Amino acid sequence: MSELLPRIPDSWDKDLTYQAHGTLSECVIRELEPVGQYYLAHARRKLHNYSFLVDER
Amino acid sequence: MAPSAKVAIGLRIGQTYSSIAIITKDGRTDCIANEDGERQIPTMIAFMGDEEFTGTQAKLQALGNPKNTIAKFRNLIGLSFDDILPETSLPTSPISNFDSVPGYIITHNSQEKSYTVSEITTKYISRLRESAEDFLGQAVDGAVLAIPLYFTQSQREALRQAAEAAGLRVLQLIHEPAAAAVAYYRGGSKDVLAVIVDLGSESIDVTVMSIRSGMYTILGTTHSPQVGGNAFDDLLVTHFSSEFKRKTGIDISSNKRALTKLKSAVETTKKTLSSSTTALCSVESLAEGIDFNGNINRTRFEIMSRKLFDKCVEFVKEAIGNVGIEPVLVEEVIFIGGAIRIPKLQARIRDIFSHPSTVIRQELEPDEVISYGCAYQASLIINMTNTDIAERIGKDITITPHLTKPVGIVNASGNFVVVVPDNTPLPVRRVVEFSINDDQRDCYISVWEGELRLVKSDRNMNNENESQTGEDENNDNAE
Ligand SMILES: Nc1ncnc2c1ncn2[C@@H]1O[C@H](COP(=O)(O)OP(=O)(O)OP(=O)(O)O)[C@@H](O)[C@H]1O
Ligand SMILES: [Mg+2]
Repeated sequence: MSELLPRIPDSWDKDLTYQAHGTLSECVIRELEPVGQYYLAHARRKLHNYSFLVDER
Repeated sequence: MAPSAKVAIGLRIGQTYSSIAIITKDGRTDCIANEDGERQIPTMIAFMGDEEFTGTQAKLQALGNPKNTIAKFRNLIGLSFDDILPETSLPTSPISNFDSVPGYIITHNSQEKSYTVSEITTKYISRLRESAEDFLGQAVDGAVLAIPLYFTQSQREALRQAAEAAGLRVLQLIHEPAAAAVAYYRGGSKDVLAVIVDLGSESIDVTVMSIRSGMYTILGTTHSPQVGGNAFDDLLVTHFSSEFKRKTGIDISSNKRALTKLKSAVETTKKTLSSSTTALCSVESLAEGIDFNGNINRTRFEIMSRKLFDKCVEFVKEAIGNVGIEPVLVEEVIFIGGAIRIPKLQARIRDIFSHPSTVIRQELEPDEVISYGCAYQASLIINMTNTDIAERIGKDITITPHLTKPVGIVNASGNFVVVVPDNTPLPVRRVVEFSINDDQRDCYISVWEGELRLVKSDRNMNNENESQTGEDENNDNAE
């Protein structure tokens, strides 16, 4: 069952594609446990500076 | 990746029991037994005449040959003698000081010999490697070993060196709770907030872990040597020795030999009580040639163990409290460690997580699961070079920013739908499906973080860059 998205409200400026209201809160720096295949994929992307898309090719 | 002929094993060296796991031909993880048929191999070594014993054979020597029997060395590795708290009650070979290096003086082959803790560990791991090789019929190409979270850098290094001296290529050392988690979740990528409760023989370790996109992050942990399987054994020793005194008038409280005999017998009694409601305890010639035969029912055991159960509950609550979460947020509780099999203890821990949505996981044998995780991890990296492995698990890679708050989208009913939960390591990519009404030609994607709105955006469905499935607009910010 997928969620329904709302319609664009009338108050929305139709010329804008998006509007930013803020940024992400400060992240916490934590240490990953270096186990599992997803971690290894993460390590591979980070080492080679790959994005998710490049990594999949 | 092409299938490889290389064979890797997972090793869990516990303070009192160890286990060896492999990936079987059909892809399952399983423990293998040593030549005595033990899957849980006592972490002990004994020397007798010109022979060297490990496992239960060594444990049996503790009685008649205590000076040449070595136990509880796992936690001493990599420590200096001065860091070690004196252990007075050990019925086995005492720890000696060799220029601040801990070790043991034993008699082997009628000669006095001294071995450091590292050398003993190497001997022990060699035997585990040999057991694995006998079973597999071929040499082991690499191993992943589990270590407790509280191991220091020098302890890790010392264990690695001891294992390498035992002829193993050490692929990686991984934390015990991480090993247990990967054994449970393996290739899955579902998000879970899990608490791992490990009741071993000498300690309780509780770890709060967030699992996000198949990656594991420890949020908090408590470790206490105050409770463990041994503490329950001690209660039974006290119970039965007073029964023996009542029956015979003989006080064994300072009779080391009698206590050792009783202690080894009550461990079986305790284990039996996990599956039966009554259990026997029999010791031949406990003291002054008199046999002891006692029995106990589970209720009695539970009453005398109440304080220990309370402590376990306290440590579990402390661990989740330290992380600042409520038990209701915990999605899964994983039971590991041999002593977690005590039914009342499980019930007491379940009571903390009484919310119906919290799942208790214990499908895998609690004293084998850590080695399963090691074997699985070993299978993933066995074909990599040491340099590659080191590069991939180095601090540069593991130290990663994590989201502090969940990020999500507001749906048509105005509710916040979490797309990326808090504690997710970045960068992250999530694909989620949203739909729109049949008559709807545009949609409004409002991205929020926790309670805070970040981005408002729309997609006109007639636009060229239309998106049928609403993508998380926050991806770019996140990366
Ligand atoms: N069926 C059972 N019922 C109760 N206790 C059990 C059962 N099976 C094993 N135990 C206990 O579990 C303990 C061993 O657990 P485990 O192998 O996880 O410890 P360990 O890893 O060697 O110790 P530690 O984690 O403290 O270093 C022992 O005290 C043992 O008696
Ligand atoms: Mg343990």
